[in-house]
Amino acid sequence: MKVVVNWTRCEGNGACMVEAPAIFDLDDKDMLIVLDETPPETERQRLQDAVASCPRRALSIED
Amino acid sequence: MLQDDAVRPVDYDPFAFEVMRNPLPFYKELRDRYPVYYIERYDAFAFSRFADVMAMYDSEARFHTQEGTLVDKTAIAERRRGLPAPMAYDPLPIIGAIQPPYYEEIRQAIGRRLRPRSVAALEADVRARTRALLDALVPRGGFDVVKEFAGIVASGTVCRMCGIPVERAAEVLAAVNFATAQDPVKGGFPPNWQENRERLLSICREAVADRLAGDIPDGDNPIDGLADYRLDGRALKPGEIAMVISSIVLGGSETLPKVIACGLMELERQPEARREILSDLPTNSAIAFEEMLRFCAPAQWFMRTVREAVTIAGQRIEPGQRVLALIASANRDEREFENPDTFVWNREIRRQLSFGQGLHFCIGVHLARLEGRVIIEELLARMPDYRITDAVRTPSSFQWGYTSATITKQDIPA
Repeated sequence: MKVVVNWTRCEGNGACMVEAPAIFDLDDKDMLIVLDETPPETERQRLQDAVASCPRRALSIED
Repeated sequence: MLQDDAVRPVDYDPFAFEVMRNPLPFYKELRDRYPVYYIERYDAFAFSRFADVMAMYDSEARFHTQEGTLVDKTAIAERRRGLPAPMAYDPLPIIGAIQPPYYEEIRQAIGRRLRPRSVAALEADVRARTRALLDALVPRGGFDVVKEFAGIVASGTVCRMCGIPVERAAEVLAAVNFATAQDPVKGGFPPNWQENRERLLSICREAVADRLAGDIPDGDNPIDGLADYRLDGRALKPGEIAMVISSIVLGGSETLPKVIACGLMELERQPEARREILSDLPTNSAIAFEEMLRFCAPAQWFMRTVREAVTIAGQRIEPGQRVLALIASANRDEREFENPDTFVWNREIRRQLSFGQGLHFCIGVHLARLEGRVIIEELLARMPDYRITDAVRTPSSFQWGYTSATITKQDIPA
């Protein structure tokens, strides 16, 4: 399971880090940081919620 | 009743006067009976349910923005089959029609100042201007909550951000309202709409010239990002930068005051809700503003052009045909919200469509939330009991909201 970010799309709205704090964070300029690019299977639900919560649809999952 | 309905189906036309005056009963009928409604006279379809609007936003390849996301009455009346010709980017087209990657690049160029932390840093300034306005307005007894208060807070903030003197907020707001005025009877923009934009554009051109000449000292201005941007290696001309900036000024000034006026009118009818909000004003103002967004957001619909044939709810839509996503209807869909036509200040809202979704998701979302929260907080602290009179909800095919409303302080009865 791999996290895919559309970097020209992401605007640092921060919705994903609320849903999956172990995977996403924002730096002090609100640039997205992917803490874990290949999260464990136990994180799948949280990652799916994060993908669904992104208002710009900048996230996807690659299996 | 059923028989009557059968012979008199709903006639929905976003530019019809009856619809522009109050589209809500039309939306209800569309959602219940014609979720994918064919508007014969425009050869276009209207999506009214939350799930369908959301699915449209999520299928960007199929529902395309090449013709822009807003359309005029005369343009939509021109029937289309097949796809419009790809556009040139010199000069830059209207912002709504720009495609990725340019569209994304331009958003990145202007968007730094609109990210959550940058916006949070504006709170002290927004609050100070809000308080100063109330200091001047409240002693007068009654004032216009749209034109003299919320609209000035909102346009003052975009002025500050773009390096336009904040003292010009009222002039900017008037120029925005002039630029976006629609024909309230026939619907759509008047034939001279481009001239009506000129006042706003000239203010923005001035700001761009001042900034490029180094006359505006304030750091981190969206004009800088656009000046540094290269579209396929080409620098944008000052006039093109001014056009993009005018979209920011317009988006930041036009909508918020209409949301506030409508929300305050709902709360006026609910003294109990007002008391609950007052019990923890800083926290509850933010919560109440979310319901105001769902219930009041004035943008009625956005357009897409279909690029791949699709069948939804039994309706076949061909490439080139247009779809109108009725977001104001989606936000009142009974399938998504319980008792959607009731204003519940602390309703749990998992998701709503007032800011759109995906490609065109509102870039000013954090600013809108900051301003909404501060305005409600400061206003209710000063005027926990108030009355609203002379509210004018101008008929509109697109931005349906209060353009004027007088708020008067009421003394709390002993």
